[in-house]
Amino acid sequence: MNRLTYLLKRLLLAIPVLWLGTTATFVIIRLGPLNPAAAIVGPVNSAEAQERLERIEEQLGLNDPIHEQYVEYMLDLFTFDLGQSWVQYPGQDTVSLLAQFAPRTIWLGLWAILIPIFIGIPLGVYAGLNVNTKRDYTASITGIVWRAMPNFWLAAILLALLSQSDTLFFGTGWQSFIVETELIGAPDLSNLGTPEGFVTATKQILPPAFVLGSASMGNELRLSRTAVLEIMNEDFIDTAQAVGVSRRRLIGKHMLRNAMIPLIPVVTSEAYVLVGGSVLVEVVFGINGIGTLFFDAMTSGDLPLAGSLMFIFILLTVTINILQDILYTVIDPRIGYEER
Amino acid sequence: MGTAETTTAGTTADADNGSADNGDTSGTNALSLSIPEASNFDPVQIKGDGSQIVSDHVFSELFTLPQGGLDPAAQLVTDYTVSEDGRTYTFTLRDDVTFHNGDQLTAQDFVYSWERLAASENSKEGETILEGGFQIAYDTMTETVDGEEQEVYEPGSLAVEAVDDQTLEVTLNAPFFDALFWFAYGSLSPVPEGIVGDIEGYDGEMEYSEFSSQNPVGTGPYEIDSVSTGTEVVLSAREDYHGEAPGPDEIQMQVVTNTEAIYRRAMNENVDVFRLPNSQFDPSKVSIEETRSLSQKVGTYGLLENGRTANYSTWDEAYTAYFIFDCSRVEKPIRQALNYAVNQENFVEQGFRGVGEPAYHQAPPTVYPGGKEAYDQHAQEGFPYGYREAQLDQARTTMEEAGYGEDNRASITLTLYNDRNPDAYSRIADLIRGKAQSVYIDLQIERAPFNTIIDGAVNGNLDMYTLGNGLEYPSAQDMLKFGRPYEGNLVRWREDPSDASQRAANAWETIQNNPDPTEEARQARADAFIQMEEAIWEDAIYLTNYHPRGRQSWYDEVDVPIQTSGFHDRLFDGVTFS
Repeated sequence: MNRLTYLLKRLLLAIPVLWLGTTATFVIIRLGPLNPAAAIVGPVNSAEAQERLERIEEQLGLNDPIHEQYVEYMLDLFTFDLGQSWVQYPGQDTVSLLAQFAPRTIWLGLWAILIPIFIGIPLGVYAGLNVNTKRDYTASITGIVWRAMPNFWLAAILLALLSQSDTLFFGTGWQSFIVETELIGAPDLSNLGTPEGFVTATKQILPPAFVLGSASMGNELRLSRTAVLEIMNEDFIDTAQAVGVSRRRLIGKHMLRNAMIPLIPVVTSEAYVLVGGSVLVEVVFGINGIGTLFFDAMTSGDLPLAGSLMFIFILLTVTINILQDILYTVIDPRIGYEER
Repeated sequence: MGTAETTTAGTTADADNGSADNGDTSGTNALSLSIPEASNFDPVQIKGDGSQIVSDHVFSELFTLPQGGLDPAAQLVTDYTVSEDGRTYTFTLRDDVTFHNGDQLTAQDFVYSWERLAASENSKEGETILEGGFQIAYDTMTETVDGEEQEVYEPGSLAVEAVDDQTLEVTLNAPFFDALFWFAYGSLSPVPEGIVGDIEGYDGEMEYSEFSSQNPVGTGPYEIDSVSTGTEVVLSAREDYHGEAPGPDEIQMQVVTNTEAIYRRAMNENVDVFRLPNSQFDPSKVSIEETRSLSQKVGTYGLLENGRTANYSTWDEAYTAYFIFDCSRVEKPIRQALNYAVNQENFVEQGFRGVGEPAYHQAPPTVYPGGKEAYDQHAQEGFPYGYREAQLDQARTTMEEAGYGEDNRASITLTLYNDRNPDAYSRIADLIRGKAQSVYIDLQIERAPFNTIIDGAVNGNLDMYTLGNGLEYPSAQDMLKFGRPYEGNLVRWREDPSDASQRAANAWETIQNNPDPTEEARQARADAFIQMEEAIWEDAIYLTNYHPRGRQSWYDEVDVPIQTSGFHDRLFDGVTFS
């Protein structure tokens, strides 16, 4: 089996995954206790409440037989006719909502992945190279503590700390540090092209990204330390050392490259924090990205919005998985998908 | 209407410090608010608190409630007359009003806008003019839905006519004494004729989604500068506004939902005006210096965490929160016993940190006939289940007389919101459960999201549940229309009929039969409202909870007009910068 057939096979396998995920969304919203029409009607105790409910249910087609609703829902999704939001943003296309909400979450997710990669992995490698020294212990314990701190707690603490940070950041406080930004709110991504716009958007996303990435940072620190330790005891390292490979080349080429292999799935799987883990951080920092959008859509029974988001999340997840498999073959030539 | 967690900031961008982020804001007074959501600003949609604040600034109505009072004042009209029979209103429109797109406001715009309200598939507020006491006359047609024939609104049949460009004639189905309030209601705001194509005869100048969420066009003091969906709305003051020039040149509204984030924004002084979240609010830091008409209170709050003292005001939200009994599921002795067993004061103190008034009537104090004094007096003299006290002995006696006792306990389920004030309601529910326990009632507590509760209530699946009603306009009628036995009432009083329910129905008849704006008719209605309140007491169809009060704080850098009541638009055009 060459890479192409492998790819095709993986794509075919994605279909039942898509079907299951979108069906589950439909079942949860339409057969569960949520009633989107009631969410639209809002807080009323009135004679009209009932009539209003009925009229909105009729408008949304909620009185049609459930199997007809299901077939229509699935056909729309699979023909990429993603429809309009019912409850959260009535009258707006889910596609345009996605286009407006996704960039903020992607920006947050990107930094939540980059921060651990650039802090967690180097620290882990450093600890691995200095195994069983004080430096190793300090780094390792920090990693465990990081890993253990829950996001909601860390977010609240960081908010409070940065709010009263006049004495840190060279006497200016976080909000005036380098460029003027507000601690809470969505970053402005429209000027990313300009240096000032980039710095502002980055500065604004750093605190939430730091919180979101904190668990991964601990994970990556621990994993890279272990990976380095394992590789260090391999015979080929001794051989390379014996033939006189310099220490820098030994670490850079022979050790790190091999140590990266177990880290790839860890890093790629963290891409999923884009979706699930970001809700809390988005809410606390007022970012209102796609995690919040999905959460609100689910809890208010906004079927077209929740269904479309689910559909796209699954597509993304499957794509990332396939990319990850292909990335393996690039990094480690021994891995292939040919039959043996 | 809002119980919005609204936070506001005023920043005066300094022209000569060069740090203004984009040149065009230098020298402008920018106010920045945090709002709980921003989704759809179309007047005919049901809106959340945040979208409502945006709409309040962008749109305006024929009439408005003036600062400090509850009598509608002309806003888009110069004059109006009412026909002899009280059904036909003829409005002369101001000739100096323009929409944000430059079009002049004409009577045809109202014909179009109200037809949208009645007939558009995007309208969720059609019953404002098609059902209830205030109804514009219209024709119906028969439509078959799921094999059932139904009478529905016939598009184009609304009795609204543009006599000429400045003269609008509206005929009501029946005279309605509070009609001017409805002409001040947000859903009846004009939009330019033909702006969207969601009713017959119009193609629309823009897509619906653009109009409703990006570029709503109205006659209000502000227009949309930019919208970042779900995150930020920026409004800019209109230069050609026909009314008084607004204070802030720009209002930036940021969507913030998390209470910690709202609090932090206030403490960081990103904001000059704010509402402290309940969890951060300490009633002992309030000092009230002045009480105004309609029970507005003004004073200070402090010290805050950041060492500052803020100004503080509170007002009646025109809302009644209660627990509804489904009378077809919970017998009268149990309802009465629960009423005896609790003290509403405890709800306010323990649940809502003292911000609010214990509720004994359906009508909130501002609209109760005779106002707050009459409200308190009537409750003190007449409330049968203990005014500001619990009467556990009476509760036990009532239960024992109905055959209940230690060996034969009653059991009901109380369903609570888990998405509105969940902490407050948890504390209150514990309180009720404790009391109920001692009067032979086992109370199970369940929690559900608001939309599940309303669904279960309509379908008759709940015994007792949290709910409340915010009034649309300042009249006891808007609350007491629910206080009678009729089909569709959530308390299902009709299914447990009694003398009291009959009295309530009769009193409601009296109100309907006295629609005139005369003093005599007003007195007859006022008496009937009180009869309804007493009938509701007798059958204990509700366990009343409290009347929430709105509150707001601001730093000295801005001067914020005091919000008059929950009926008033949440407008920030009167803010000035010092």
